[in-house]
Amino acid sequence: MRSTTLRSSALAPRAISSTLFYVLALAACSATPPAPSSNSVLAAMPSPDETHVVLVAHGMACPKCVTNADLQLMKVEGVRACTIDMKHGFIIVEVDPARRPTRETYARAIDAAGLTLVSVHESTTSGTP
Amino acid sequence: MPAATQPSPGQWILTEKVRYYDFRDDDPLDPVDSIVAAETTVAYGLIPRLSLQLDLPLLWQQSGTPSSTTFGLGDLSLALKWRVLQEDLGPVDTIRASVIGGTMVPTGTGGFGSTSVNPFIGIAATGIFGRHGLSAAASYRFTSGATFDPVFAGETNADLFRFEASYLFRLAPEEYTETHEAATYLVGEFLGEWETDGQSELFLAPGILWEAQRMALELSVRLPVAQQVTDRPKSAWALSVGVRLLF
Repeated sequence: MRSTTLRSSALAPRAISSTLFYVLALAACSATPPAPSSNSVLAAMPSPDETHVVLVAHGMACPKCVTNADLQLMKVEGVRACTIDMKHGFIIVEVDPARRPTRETYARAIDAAGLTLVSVHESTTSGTP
Repeated sequence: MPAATQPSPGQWILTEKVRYYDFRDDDPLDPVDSIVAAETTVAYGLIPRLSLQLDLPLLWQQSGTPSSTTFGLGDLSLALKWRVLQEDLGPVDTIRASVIGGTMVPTGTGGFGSTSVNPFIGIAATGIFGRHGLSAAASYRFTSGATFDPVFAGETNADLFRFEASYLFRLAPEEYTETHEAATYLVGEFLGEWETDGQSELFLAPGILWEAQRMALELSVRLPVAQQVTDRPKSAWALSVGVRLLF
């Protein structure tokens, strides 16, 4: 299995962003349930194969965000279907092996959906460009 | 209340909210008893992080003795929302902030709405942490013309500052499973409105929200906490029912 870690670019303006980030994070830190550990997330991850790519995305805060991701990915050429696991942040993308999207294409679609693409996991034999 | 959420590019969100407002009006000649407002909101994702939003209310006002009903359109609100912050901390957890800028367009009929173009600016921030959500929004509206018979904040010839804060608790599911599903939230909102002519109102609005992938339903009751109102009727309570559809 081959994986690539991606992060969305920083957004401006940083000064406002940082202030809001800390205010909201402080306000809610005591209420935050423990996030799934990296090991438990990896253990739960389905195996990618010739026709399935697993994307790990963060920020799917509500069922509507899931629809955003689904709509944007379904616009990508070569994507046949998407299955989304909100618990772990997995997006299992069924692709046409002859027209496999690139990692940059996935990144653009996830960014357009308003989410952050963390990593792309695909079969080592899939030959993704 | 405004939240730092928006449709992705090419996506539409249609929201229809019906609100019933009950008033305590001391005007002996023409007391406003109640208003029913049906507010249609259309939001469209233009490009990543930027969306366009239009709001248009239809209003029915019950007033006077003997009672009479007035019907008309309110002012159209036209706004752009730009997401300036996005920190996604986990599969569900996120912090977002947006700036909002737009204008009220004088489309009012039947005595509703102002006669002027009134621009506004604002900011909204939202944080989701597991089952807990926090939102805060502030806006300032520059008013250059009053409504003939003001009823709501911002309809007198004064600028309006609004501050809204809300807390959401996800009742169900306690934790999302591998198959995404609908979510039900308890919502508590605080709304403060201050006008530059000295009038102000504070409200609390508890409610419930049910959200599925392409649809959401909400119900809330708005109760006044403090009111310093002289040039318009005092709102006694309000009931709001809303539906949101995603295309």
